[in-house]
Amino acid sequence: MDDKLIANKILKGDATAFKELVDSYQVKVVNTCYGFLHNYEDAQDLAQEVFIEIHRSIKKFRNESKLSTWIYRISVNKSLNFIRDNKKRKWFQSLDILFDSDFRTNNQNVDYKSPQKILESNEKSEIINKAINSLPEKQKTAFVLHRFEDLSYKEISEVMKTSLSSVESILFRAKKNLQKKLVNIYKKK
Amino acid sequence: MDCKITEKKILFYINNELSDVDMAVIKKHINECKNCSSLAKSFKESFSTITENKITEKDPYFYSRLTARMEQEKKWNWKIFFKAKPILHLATYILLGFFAIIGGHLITHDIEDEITNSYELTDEELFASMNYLSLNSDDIYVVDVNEFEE
Repeated sequence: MDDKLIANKILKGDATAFKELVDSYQVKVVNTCYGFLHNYEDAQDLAQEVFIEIHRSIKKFRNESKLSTWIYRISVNKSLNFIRDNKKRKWFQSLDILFDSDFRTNNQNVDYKSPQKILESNEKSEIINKAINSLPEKQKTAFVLHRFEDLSYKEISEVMKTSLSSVESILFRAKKNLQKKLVNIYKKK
Repeated sequence: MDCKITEKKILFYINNELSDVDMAVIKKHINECKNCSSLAKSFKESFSTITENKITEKDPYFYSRLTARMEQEKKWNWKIFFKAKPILHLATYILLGFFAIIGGHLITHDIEDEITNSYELTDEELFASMNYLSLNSDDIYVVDVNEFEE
């Protein structure tokens, strides 16, 4: 179905059109969120927020870009905001732990991983995920869209609202940075 | 070709993003060097996890969960405050604190004004307090408050 037609139908409150859109983009949105968050539950939860945002602001979609580009942009922004908020939340939590003696005594082993969890965690994906997380936002966005969503450089440039040459340069730097970080990690082992 | 040059191109090598010449040279070095061979293997394994971790199938309950959440959010709009960004929480607390200070200041000033300006003892009250304190009329001094203020 035509992008503008779907958008108009959703705007008029057509639940079937919205369901169609969710079905078509569910996997793409969840994968994009997962590329940033590396946690399935968080990615699923955030994907729902993405679709709620799409439903809420569908009137803002003016067919200037493809619907898919617009949806990817919302997914990227939501993911980056989630990471930023999570950093703040962790900072506030660390303050709570510092001042709350009950919390200190009851939750001393809050970060302790059970042996089963250690077994479950995939060491290799943890290494690459940590390396991706440490990239600057633009590099991370371009890399996730490229590797997790297989978007072309042109599509990435549309999502990121930047030029094709800029995406090439951002991705080159992202790969160089990842390579440096991974070589350091693997050489220490 | 040494290990340092291989390390600088290893990611591009495993992704086949080098020229044919570079690909051949690095491949030759990796075949001869145990460390670089191990490094290339680790890189390949790490990057393959990205593909392995990708979701390929739709969650059949995703849409029903989504609509349930949308319905709930419509009903409980006030809950949005608690989900709001920490900066909004901080702004709200600052505003509440500000109003508490202003309110407290106004209330205490009203009480002080009542005590200092509005209250005058009637004769009955004066004699009653004299009786209570067992004072004579000689013990009472009339004080003009304005004298002190001047």
